[in-house]
Amino acid sequence: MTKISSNQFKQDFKGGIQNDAATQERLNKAGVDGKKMLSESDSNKDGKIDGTELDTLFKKIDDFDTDGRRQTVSTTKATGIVNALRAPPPPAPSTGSTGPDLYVANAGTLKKDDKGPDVKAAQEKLLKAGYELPKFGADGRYGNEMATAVKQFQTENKLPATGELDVGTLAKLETAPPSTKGVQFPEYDKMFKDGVLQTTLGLGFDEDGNDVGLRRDMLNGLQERGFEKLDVKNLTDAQLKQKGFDPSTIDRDATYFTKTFQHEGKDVKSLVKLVDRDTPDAKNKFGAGMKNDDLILYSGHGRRGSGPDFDHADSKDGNYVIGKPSEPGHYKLGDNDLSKQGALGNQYQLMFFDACNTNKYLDDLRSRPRNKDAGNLDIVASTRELPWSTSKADMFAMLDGVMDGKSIQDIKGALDKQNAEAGKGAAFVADGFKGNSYRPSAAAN
Amino acid sequence: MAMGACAATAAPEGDHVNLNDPALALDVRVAKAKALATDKDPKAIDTLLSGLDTRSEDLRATVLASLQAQKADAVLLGRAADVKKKAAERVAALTGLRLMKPEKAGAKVALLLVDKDESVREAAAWALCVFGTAEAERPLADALAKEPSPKVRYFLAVALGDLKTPTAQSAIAARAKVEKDFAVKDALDQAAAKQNR
Repeated sequence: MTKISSNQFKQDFKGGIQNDAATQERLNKAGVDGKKMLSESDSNKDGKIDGTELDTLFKKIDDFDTDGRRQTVSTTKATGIVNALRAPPPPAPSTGSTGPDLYVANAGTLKKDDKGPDVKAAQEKLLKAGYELPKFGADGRYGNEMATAVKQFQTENKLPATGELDVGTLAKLETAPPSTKGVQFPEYDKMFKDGVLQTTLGLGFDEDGNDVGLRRDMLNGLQERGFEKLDVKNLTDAQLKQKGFDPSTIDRDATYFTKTFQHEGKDVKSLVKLVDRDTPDAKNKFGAGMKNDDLILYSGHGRRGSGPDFDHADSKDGNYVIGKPSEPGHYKLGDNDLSKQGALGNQYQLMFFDACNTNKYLDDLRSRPRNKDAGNLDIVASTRELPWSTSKADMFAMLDGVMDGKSIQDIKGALDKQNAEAGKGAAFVADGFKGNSYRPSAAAN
Repeated sequence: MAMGACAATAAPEGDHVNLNDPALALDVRVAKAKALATDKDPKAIDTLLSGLDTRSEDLRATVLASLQAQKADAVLLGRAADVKKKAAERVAALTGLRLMKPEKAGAKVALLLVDKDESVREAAAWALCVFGTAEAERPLADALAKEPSPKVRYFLAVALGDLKTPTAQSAIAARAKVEKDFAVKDALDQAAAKQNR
């Protein structure tokens, strides 16, 4: 599958892209709303997408991409959109993929006896959508088995059952919900029911300043994703309400970022509270998030299983104590904060602890809060030591994954891949998801 | 420079394994780091620097102890300042200094805030976030006014914010009036807030 980077995209289109009916129509055929995509990118309304407008357009294309990476697009649909921008599509070739630069949207119909990476990508999508290829799997060859699966897909999606992957079928396949056989999701309907995804993002203290670099990179990552700072200090309660936020849940001394995303066709506001070494009373601000927020993200040190820590290891002031240190006496810690809080919120929560061996938090998280169980608390924790260099990617794998409505298998798969270690099993464990009832609706796509 | 990556030199060979090598168990890496404390091979320091991208408190403490036993701070300061060396090697040296936090190194590291190489300036500013002292105040303030890279300005703002001096305060305020970068603006806000705590 061809991969297209943001830089390559800008280079390829440095002459600009016409915002005209022909280009819009080509985009429509690639499965997107061409008029909307181009008009929203053409900020100076001069009928041409150029300069920094190309960045906006690329981000929009990246929104259709499921490769888990920003700044590159690689799925058939996303590369198909890029191709639709390039030029009018050539006549459909008689065979499928003939080279690495041929994108499916331009290659026309894929059909029996075709072979290559585009066929393989389509097979993988069929499998993901739950259509079986029991004998040959995703082998890159369009045989009878694939044609049967395509026919089945077309029938179930009210498309002409030709057994061939035309542009319409491919577009539908791109947006087909993943098979839910053996797949679990966070309880997205509960998380987003008030239209807000409220997140506490904690960055723990590191004695060598790695958290300072992580904070910078997280800010840049938030900006790349379209988050804006929310000036909570200077907004009235009425103004916060007008923006869709409950003022009683906002800490006026904290730093917040917000953006709107879509889940199953509805707008959801993502509100992120950042807690770090410079946040006054960081431990309690993090604790408030543990109690009230939908999503809790922590990256830093695990402090030998004792809990997140927002100041120097020698100080107990910044420790949000979840468990006991694995080596008694190593840290001077106060009382267990989960026990002190007694109860967390009754709402469904998802917690992610991106630090060394945070699976040591699990027993306390499962036993101390009296009103939490696997029905209203899901946890993703690490099973070993982690490097610093993956911390940003880990945090966004979770935040992006939730905002994209991904399954926990997909999210955990990305985390495990980023932290792969030879000879060892998965780097993360997902706890509590098995009984979850949420399933993505077909209408979402 | 990727966050947290120590940009170390190429993985050493033989006994001098890469201490960040995920194919080696952590206890093996810790044992090897410990053994390097008395290793006379000039590659020993490079090997220790290869172990900095870790959140393991055991490995970190062992690497630090071995670097201290090697009296590596002088070597690292020399490498960081040597413009003939590759930028990656100089950055690795500055990352090692961020771990070692040698006393009185602030002034020497501050000289690198005007280095030609952006990654060296970035690593120097980052190191001064950890062990910046009053002697680095003026170079930090000057750099914040002139530095073209937002990646570097972010760390300059953080380092100045921790100094809490009038010079730092006015440098932060002056930059805040013109700063456009999203992350640096936030760092300046945080730095200004810290002045009043």
